Amino acid sequence: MFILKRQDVEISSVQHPKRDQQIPILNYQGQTFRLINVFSAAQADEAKAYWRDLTDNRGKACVLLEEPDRYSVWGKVRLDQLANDEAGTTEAKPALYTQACLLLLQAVYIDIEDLLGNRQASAFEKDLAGALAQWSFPQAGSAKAIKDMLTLDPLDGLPIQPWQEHHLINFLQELHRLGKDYFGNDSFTARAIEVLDDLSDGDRVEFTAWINKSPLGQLWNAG
Amino acid sequence: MSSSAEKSSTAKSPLTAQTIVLAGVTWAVAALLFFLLFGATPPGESPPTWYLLGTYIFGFVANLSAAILCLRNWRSPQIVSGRNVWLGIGLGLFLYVIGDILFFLWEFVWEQDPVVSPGDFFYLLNYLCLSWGMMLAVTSRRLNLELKQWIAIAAIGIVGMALAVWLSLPPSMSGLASTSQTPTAPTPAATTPAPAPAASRAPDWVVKLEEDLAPLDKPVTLIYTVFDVALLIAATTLLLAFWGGRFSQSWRMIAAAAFCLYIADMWFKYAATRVPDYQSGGILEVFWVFSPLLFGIGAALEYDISTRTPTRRAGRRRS
Repeated sequence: MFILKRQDVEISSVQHPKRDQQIPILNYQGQTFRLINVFSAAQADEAKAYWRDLTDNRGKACVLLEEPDRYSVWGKVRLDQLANDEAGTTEAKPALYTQACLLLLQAVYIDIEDLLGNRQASAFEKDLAGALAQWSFPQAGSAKAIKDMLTLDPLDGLPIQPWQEHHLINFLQELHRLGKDYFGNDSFTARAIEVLDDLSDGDRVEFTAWINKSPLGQLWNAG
Repeated sequence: MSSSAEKSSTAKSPLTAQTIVLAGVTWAVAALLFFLLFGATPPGESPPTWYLLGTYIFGFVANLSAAILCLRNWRSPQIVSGRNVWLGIGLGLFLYVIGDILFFLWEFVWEQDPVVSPGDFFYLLNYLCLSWGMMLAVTSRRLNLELKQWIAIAAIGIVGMALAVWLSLPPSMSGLASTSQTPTAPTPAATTPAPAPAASRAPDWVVKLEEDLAPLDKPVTLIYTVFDVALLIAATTLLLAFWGGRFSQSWRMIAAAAFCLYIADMWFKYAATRVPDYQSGGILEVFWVFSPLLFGIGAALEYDISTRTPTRRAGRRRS
């Protein structure tokens, strides 16, 4: 079993040669790995099973990274072959998932501004930028991009980039962690989840079904 | 009196925050008038029995209603401060009620004037619970305070402590010697017209207990004021950290409640050591009624804030 700790590795990001996207790359002893999947801290067993399936049954060279609040599985890749390495990447989810995540983000942000005041809200903005930079998020590279994320209505028909599943999961995990930091408890999730009523019924049902199946089910309690 | 009936029914009927605030203010004004109108007794005389009974009733109703309101918050999963914060405060207020009942028995039923009574034990427990709840509220969330805010908080702590320590010095040292007593002896029950123990209405064990507890007098009153300052610091910290957010509305009330507690305790400390022949029911003791009322109002405001959904969407208003 190849479990690495955060201090053993370096995580950077590279530009995908074909797609307009930054990809997180893990460096370990001169070898490079790309992110395949993410699990929450409570899903240690699932993460190990997934890793085992990849290595034993599919013969991939993978490592499992253990961090305090998540497990992630990374597959070996050579940077010069990144363009033709499509295997093992997670599927991009439809844009509605991105929209729903942005709605949740804005609900938490407005909640912080409303209840905890402006100073906490601007501190949250900085923390969010830091959290997203760490995972090299699409469309979150600049202060303006973060501002847009927090203020533009995701249902206004603006072009929304579909995110990959691991992005969605990371995003909601980081958002929950930050919310809990600021509020001191998770009373905010119930208030935030209400915002999903703004989606069409079909979209809402699809998104909540996904969230409840994902590692985030117990975090967000989407009901 | 009608307000008390309204207030104690909160557990059953979903009262609006406005009604609760109104009832609390009414009760506070009534208590203030009662203390002001009937509380001034000529020196050397005891206040009438019905007056003392009245002061107990005001405090009892206020504490019990506030405890119920705080525990209502504890039951709600949506509460912003966190449920355990309100459990701590609510339990504290309940213990205070028990302490009051014991104190009442001692002073009223058995006509003792102890320096330390078993009621004090419950008051101390009340402070422990209150502090636990409020510290939890401070430590569980990110504060992002600026330096000058930290300085303001430190200043409050230092001034509050200094005042408390100064008051706990013997009168001769603090230069506040009262004219009517020798500067060495703080008066415990020495000059009160309390009957001699033999003719006392109290059971023997009560008298015995009182003698055993008497040496604890100094530490106990000092501990109260130390706790008061700690509560004040906790509440002010939250108030400053979340200034401008609606969350600070309830903490403004709680900070005021802690401040009232501080005033009343300091006054009691002052009176017990410097006012000759001090009897319960002094005018400043009305702050012991204000304090729980403010806790209760803070609880009601927070309940309101936590359960009401604000406008959610950044881009467009919800229709």
